[in-house]
Amino acid sequence: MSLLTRLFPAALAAALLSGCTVTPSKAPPPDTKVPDRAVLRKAAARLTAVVISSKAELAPWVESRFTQGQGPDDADGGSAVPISPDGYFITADHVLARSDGRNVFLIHGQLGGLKATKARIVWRSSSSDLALLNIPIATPRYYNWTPADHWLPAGTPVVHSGIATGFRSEPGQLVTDIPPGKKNAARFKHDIPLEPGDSGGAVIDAYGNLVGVNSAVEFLVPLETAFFIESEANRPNVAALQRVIEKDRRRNGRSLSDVSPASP
Amino acid sequence: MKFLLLLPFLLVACSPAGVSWEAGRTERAAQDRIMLVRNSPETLGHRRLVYQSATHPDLNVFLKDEGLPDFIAETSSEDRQYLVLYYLDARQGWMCRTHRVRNARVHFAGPYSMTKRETAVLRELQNTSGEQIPAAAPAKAPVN
Repeated sequence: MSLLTRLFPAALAAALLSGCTVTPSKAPPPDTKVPDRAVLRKAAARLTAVVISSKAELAPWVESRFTQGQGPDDADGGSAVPISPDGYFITADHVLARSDGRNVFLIHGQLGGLKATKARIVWRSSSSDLALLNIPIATPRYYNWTPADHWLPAGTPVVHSGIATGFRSEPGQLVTDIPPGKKNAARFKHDIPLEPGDSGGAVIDAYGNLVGVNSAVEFLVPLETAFFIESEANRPNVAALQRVIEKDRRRNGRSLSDVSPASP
Repeated sequence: MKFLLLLPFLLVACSPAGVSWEAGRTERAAQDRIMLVRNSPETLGHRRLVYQSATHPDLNVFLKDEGLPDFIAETSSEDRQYLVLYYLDARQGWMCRTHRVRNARVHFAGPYSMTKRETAVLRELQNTSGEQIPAAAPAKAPVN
């Protein structure tokens, strides 16, 4: 009887615990604030296209709003994201896949209209599908990264600013968590369908901060119809990226104080 | 007497685990397959819908509204599951995305228009009582 009384609570505990099979996520619940019009306006003011062409100059064509001169008939490209006040942009590495021996232009909004500026490739990483570009002019409209020490749990609402669909897509949400950490680099997924041209575009949270950069889209094609699954984006190790930028500034004899104050 | 004391362990372990084992077995069998949905005699596609709609109430509601599909295709990745529902008469497909966790929300996207050819392929399979064919695994493409 004493054995029975000792084992019965254990059996009862086993019965109760067997129902608790779901492993709780470590991530906190997501902040469900949805990006609003102000965030979309901010994204529109920072919209940037990458054009890769053998043409030497695109400025007349772009600055006339594509009415004068000839556009490139050999263009490749995608989207890019301004991340500093002194002309540094991040994009997807594969956007630059056919840049050897050709010019890389950034088409971006400046005071007074659109500009096409020849860009320099500063850094590339095929493994993270990220690349850093620079143009030699001030870019007072840029993004701040979401803090590296904050969770971005699955379910966090986001929008994107890829040039193909960024401003006609409904807000979506992260499908995977981005955990905090000193490095905080991540390949993550969101549920906004992307189209060609969106690579290198910004993934933005409800506070207008940059979460990461669009990279790819996943489909399920059981027979012929392609069913969208989710989109993939990348976030760099922001501190390491900042070191790359600072090193590049030093190499080019520039400092942040050379440009006007930030106005993010 | 000692064995009797083990009975509660065995009972609680066997019933949900038995269902869960069976659900796991059918999930593995259903991975990257297009499956006929037929109640009698029951097909793997029907059994998967029973398990999936028991785990995901959103799917249960959807199926009550739209009816059972003629075929489903299933795949998964890490903790996420993807289910395509094919309705041949309407020539429509729906994509369902969810997590493997019980009661996880299901995101429905669609309807997608089916092509004439894939509708014909599945109709032929249905008419010949073919129960399943392989489906392509998910594919990833850069967006530039």
